[in-house]
Amino acid sequence: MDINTTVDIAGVTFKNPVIAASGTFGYGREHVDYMDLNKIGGISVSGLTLEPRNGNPPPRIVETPSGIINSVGLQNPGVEYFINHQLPWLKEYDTRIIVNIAGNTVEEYCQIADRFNGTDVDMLELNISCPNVKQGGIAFGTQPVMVEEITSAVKRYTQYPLVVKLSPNVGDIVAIARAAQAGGADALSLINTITAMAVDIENKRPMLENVIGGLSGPAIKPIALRMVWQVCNSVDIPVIGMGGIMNGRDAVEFMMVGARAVAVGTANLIHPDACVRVLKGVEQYMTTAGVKDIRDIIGIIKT
Amino acid sequence: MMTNTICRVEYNDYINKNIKKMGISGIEHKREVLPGQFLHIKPGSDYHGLLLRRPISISDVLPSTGIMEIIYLIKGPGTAELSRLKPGDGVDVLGPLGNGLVLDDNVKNLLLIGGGMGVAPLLYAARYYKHLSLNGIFGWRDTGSLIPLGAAKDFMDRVYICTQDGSTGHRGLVTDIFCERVEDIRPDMVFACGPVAMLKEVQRLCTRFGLDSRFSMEERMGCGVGSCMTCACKIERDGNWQYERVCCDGPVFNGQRVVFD
Ligand SMILES: Cc1cc2nc3c(=O)[nH]c(=O)nc-3n(C[C@H](O)[C@H](O)[C@H](O)COP(=O)(O)OP(=O)(O)OC[C@H]3O[C@@H](n4cnc5c(N)ncnc54)[C@H](O)[C@@H]3O)c2cc1C
Ligand SMILES: Cc1cc2nc3c(=O)[nH]c(=O)nc-3n(C[C@H](O)[C@H](O)[C@H](O)COP(=O)(O)O)c2cc1C
Ligand code: FES
Repeated sequence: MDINTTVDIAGVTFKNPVIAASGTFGYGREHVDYMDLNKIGGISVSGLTLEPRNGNPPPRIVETPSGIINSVGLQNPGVEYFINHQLPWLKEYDTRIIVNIAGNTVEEYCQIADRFNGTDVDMLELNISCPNVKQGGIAFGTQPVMVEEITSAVKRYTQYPLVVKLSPNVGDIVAIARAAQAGGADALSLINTITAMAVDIENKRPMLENVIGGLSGPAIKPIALRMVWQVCNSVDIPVIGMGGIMNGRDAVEFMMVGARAVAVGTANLIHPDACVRVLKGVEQYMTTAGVKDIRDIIGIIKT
Repeated sequence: MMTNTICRVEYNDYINKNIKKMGISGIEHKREVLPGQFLHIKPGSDYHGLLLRRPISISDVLPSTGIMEIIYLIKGPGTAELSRLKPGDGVDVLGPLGNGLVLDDNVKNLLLIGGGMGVAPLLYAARYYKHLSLNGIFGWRDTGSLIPLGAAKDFMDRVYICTQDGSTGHRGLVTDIFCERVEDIRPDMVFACGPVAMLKEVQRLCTRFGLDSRFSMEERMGCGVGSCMTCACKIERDGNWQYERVCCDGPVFNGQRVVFD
């Protein structure tokens, strides 16, 4: 059976809906020995900041039931290094490049966005889970007012479609999603990790040196599905769903609740070719279920 | 393209109270396996039970069969899962991974210093560098936690063994023996692996004796291939420090450049 897996997000065509999630796929290079990057719909590169960042002290990762908590703290070589040393290489591949950016002030986000103009990437993804230093360090993504402000500010600086990546650590995800849409977001992606903690009772210490980190993996999938469902039912812009996707079935679940594409994160830490495995699973599902066009299942679950 | 292949467990036997040696066949590798490289092993199935792979050093590669050996301490749920595997079982292995020990031709006299489970990768270093003048200093807490040296013993000129309680070999620490013997061994390179406290002292002594060193470092890992940035180790570069990745910049680092807090 011939199947169609292409999807369109804010005018950008993805050959299939499987995207590598930011922070779990490096800048792609680390995975070429294990899979063909041309096969997947897109790559959201590891979070980039204006200046290089060292990140948090180790240990930075711990496994918890059906999940992991990480406290990498955005270690990255900075925007300039990425543009000069990683991007040219990545552009050789036939896959969409989503640049994931982070900052501590609105100005920083705008500067990074501006720097990418003319560099021939496909989309900009705003990680708004970072602390806003001018607002006492509360995360941008937790207040609808700040979300709208940062979205509209960055939107003015970028030539690319803007994806706002929502933090799940909020009271009302729908209010945040609507604020991003009102600010001019072209698409949304969710969910980022859920703040979490683990304790080492033998040594009477937190498991992570940073004490708190972000939970990801299968443990968060039901929460992620619920949030993607709620958001898809309350905004008009496309949504990229993620959180605990380990195989094709998980990806299909996200699409059925309304996600137009999906991102695979933690699974990349277990199998460096996880994205390809997920894609194969999606295709297998389509063939078995007689789904000719992937778009036919997007949001198929109605109430 | 490499794949994480399902390999075969050939044997998986106790070599001490809580320590097992596993032989694995069918691991594909294009390049020669270097000492310090590790296997990233998936315990259990994908969805049920444990998620992350566990990094375990290659402790030997058998020349006749190509079987790779690992020696592991049954520590938590992951290694407990590995300990239940039987000959003939399949095991999902990624690797060999990481940068191993590469020595210049001018290194003629190598000293291996290992503490605890850190002795495991040094056993393969002994086989790999058996053509050099080779000596080893190995220490454990007590007899119940030691790793039998097996074939590696025959590759070394002299081997010094110690335990903290004196139940096997000398009583004391590997660094005590290092101080006592450095004058007659006169190594031109030290390769060390073990607990942080031991490495810190080996580093201090190497500086004092003017010796070059390589350390095989450990840190909690995610991917093992360099993309998740979780396995950070502080390394000195040009007077500053930066976090480098144990899984792919290491695990073997220039010992004098490792920054211990
Ligand atoms: C490069 C490298 C080589 C290693 N070689 C050996 C070896 O030859 N023999 C051996 O017995 N052990 C070795 N270790 C340590 C081994 O990886 C851990 O003991 C093991 O992962 C513990 O898993 P667990 O589930 O049994 O225990 P838990 O302590 O419950 O592990 C929980 C989590 O922590 C991680 N973890 C715990 N301790 C360590 C550690 N010290 N280093 C890295 N990750 C850890 C595990 O991967 C897992 O994600 C090595 C570690 C590294 C980084
Ligand atoms: C190690 C690690 C690093 C991450 N780094 C980033 C990042 O830099 N920027 C970002 O927006 N999200 C980051 N994330 C979040 C993921 O992109 C994803 O939103 C989250 O992990 C949920 O998906 P998953 O359960 O499939 O992993 C990171 C996640 C992990 C596990
Ligand atoms: S374990 Fe992922 S970068 Fe080293």
